[in-house]
Amino acid sequence: MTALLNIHNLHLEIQQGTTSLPILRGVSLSLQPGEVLGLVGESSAGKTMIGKATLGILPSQGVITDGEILFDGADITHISVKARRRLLGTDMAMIPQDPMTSLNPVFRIGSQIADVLRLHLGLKSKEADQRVLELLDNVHINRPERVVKLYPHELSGGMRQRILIAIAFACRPRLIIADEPTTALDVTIQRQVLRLIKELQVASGTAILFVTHDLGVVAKICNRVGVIHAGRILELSSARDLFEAPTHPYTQALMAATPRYDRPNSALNPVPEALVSALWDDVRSYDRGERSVDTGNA
Amino acid sequence: MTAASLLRRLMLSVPTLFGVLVINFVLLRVVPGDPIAMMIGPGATPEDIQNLREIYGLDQSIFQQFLFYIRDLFNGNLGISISMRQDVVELIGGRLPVTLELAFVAIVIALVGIVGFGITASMWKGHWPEVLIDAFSGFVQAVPDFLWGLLFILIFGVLWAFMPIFGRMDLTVEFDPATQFYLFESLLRGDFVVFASVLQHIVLPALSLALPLIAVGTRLLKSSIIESMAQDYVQLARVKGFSHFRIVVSQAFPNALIPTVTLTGVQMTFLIGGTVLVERIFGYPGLGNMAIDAVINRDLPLIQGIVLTFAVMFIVLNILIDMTYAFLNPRLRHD
Amino acid sequence: MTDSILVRHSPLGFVLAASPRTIVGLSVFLLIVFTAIASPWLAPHDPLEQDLLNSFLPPFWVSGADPAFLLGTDNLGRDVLSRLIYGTRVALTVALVAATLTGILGTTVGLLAGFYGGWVDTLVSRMVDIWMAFPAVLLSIVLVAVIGAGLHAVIIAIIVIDWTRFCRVVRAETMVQCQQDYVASAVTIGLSRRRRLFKEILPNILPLLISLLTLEMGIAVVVEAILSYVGLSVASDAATWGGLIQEGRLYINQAPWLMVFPITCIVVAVLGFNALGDGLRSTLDPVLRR
Repeated sequence: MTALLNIHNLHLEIQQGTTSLPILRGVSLSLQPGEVLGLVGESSAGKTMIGKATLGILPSQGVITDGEILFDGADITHISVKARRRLLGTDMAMIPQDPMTSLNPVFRIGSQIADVLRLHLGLKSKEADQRVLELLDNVHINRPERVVKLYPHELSGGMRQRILIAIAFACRPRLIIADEPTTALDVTIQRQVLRLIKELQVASGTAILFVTHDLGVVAKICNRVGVIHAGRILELSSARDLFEAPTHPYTQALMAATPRYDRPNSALNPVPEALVSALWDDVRSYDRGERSVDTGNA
Repeated sequence: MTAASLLRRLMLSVPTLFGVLVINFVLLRVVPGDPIAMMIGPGATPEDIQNLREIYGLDQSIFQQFLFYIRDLFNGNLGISISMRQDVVELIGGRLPVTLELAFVAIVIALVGIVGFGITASMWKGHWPEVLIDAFSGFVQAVPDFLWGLLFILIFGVLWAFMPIFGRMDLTVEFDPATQFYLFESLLRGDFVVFASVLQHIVLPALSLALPLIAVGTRLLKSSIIESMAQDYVQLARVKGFSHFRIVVSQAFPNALIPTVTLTGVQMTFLIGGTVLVERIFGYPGLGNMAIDAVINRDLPLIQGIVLTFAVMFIVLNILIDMTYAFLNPRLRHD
Repeated sequence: MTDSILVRHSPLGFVLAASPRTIVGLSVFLLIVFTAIASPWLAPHDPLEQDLLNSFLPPFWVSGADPAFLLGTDNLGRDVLSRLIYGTRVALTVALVAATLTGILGTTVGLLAGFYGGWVDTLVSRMVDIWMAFPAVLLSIVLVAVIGAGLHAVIIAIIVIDWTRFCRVVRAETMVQCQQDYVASAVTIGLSRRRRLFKEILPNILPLLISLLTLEMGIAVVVEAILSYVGLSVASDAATWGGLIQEGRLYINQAPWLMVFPITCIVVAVLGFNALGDGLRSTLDPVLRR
């Protein structure tokens, strides 16, 4: 079975004027059809950029300097705007991070779901309206016929995230990039939204690249997990293996640092400073061109 | 906008209107010299003066005079023009449509220009269309507004003399209008010879009114669109697979309109005020041209009537702008 | 910026820090001042001297021009160049006097409204609202008609109409300044209200005032031109730029250059004042300096 998404040795820099800042340092990963791959890491580890590079929506300063991204066997690293548009919406979709700002404030909910159906499935407005109601029903929104007439500001954050999930699944894409889709939500809502994403994913067989900094979220939803630090994947293994027997010291430290609901009074364990500086020494030597051997990963 | 909020908005303009009335009244009554002395020609007898005093209620106290003034106003009575010996309301009624038509065409040109330039500049941000449009609006803003009419006369009336620079239509064209809205009337009646002539005469004055507004509005719209383009919903639209053109026009533009409408609203009132001079420059027979004649003739009742008309136009325009704003912004539509 | 900005600028430092815009603006301003003062020596002819035999002479680069009349003559054979030169006197007078008086009135009212707040502020804001409901051009024309044509009427009209421009900005800025720490600390060390207003707030809004003032000079020049164009400024045969435009408009088909020169003068003067205002503002106000 060929991989749905295959990222090979991806290097990405933020270039501003004459200075450039490396963001991704040789990221490789692959995603099978119907698989959920979690990417965990601290803020600014570069995990969001992997998603953006895949979708082709990098900020203008973000430049891919090396490596390739294959979708369904075809190289999409540097494809034309038109070819990109044929993929987006139909084959690939996104669940964005912030539901409060990701819906257009001046349009009704219904039209923001219907527009993508009309564009890609060529539905007439009646059919599209009908399909919108079904989609809203799928994401467990009550009284969808009322919600379609509302504007984003009239809905709660959790409701908006459900709308955005409905938009992502609208055209039955093969790959969804979920960019921290629960970060901006309340803890109780987070669980509902996660359950919803998992439910829809199982039903549709869509593959998801799930970007998050929350190991707890990863445990609930992912088949495999990659741990990323400073633009490098330190460890990539099945979710079960990762949680039961993490091999990389950084992964072990991250696990130890995660607050546990079942042990509310235990002390917080930050990632040890010695480990952090050792990792960064490694990153610097990598940037100098001496690829480290011991952190290399399959 | 709901009926209730419209009513609230209308109530808000009542104090302003009242203030306008007071100032308009005071302006022409607490001036150096006797207003009657200004009104009458040479050779008036003392009885004439006394009669006029009584007609205008000038023998009463100033407070009484103000009450009379308000009462007459509500009866639709703005007095008799001294220089034209005609009812002021009738005179204004005859000229107001001319000015409204001019302002309408100017605003249409301005809106088309703002939307066209604003969208073009933000579509090709960082490329030559944006540079060109920025240079254009910078240049237009550098030249004082009132000179544009004169420059157009020089350029299109003299240098390449292919546009008429005086009047409202060719006097050789026959037209028997039922209203003063020549442009609309000739169009509705299908009289295209007249329509073409009126249109030709309206283009330059309307353009000189529209140009400063286009410059300001284009800059505002462009920066608002560019700001909207950085928002998350635009990124989502890209992931939905929309074209760049569609994202600018149907996603960013409707959002960018909201701040642009508020800020160009003030400029819109400048445009209305600007008709006074532009009409003078192009010999356009509207309200503003009549106002200047009234001032030169010291025709106080007529001046008062025209100033009041303009003030009401300003207030109505501001209400319209507020309504447009509320219409564009869903957050205000459902309050 | 918590302490006064002006005190840290020596005259030398100012010249060194001046932007090209300031220098261009200042040059135009000085040129206008010089021309206005030296008019009798600069002008080749008496601006009122009529020479009907030499009417409508074209400017020097057109064939048929008389070198004695460098920029040609008008319908009465008056020398255009001399009339333009004398026109700077009217323009400069209006620019200086009207802008200064407008600035004083608007700043005073704006300071009071911003500093005292409460009913003073409500009253002032309400008045500004009402003022904004009048079309400025029409109001100025009406005012001049009421007062009676003449330079003093033009100046009064500008003051009555444009005080709101200063008032709005100064009011807002004073409110901002009152929130700043240095004013709060002035309160704690027991400075009286008046001293706070004049020693603390006024010096800090001075850069803003200076740039507003120069911008207002440009506006005043335009308003004067508008009023003389309409025929309501100084006596009709006196030389003003607006008056020259109006005469040019009458004879536009015989002598289009009659309009070109005064328009050019106005554009140059206004651009100069605006450049000076913008330049001074960015030089004097470190917050705005980018």
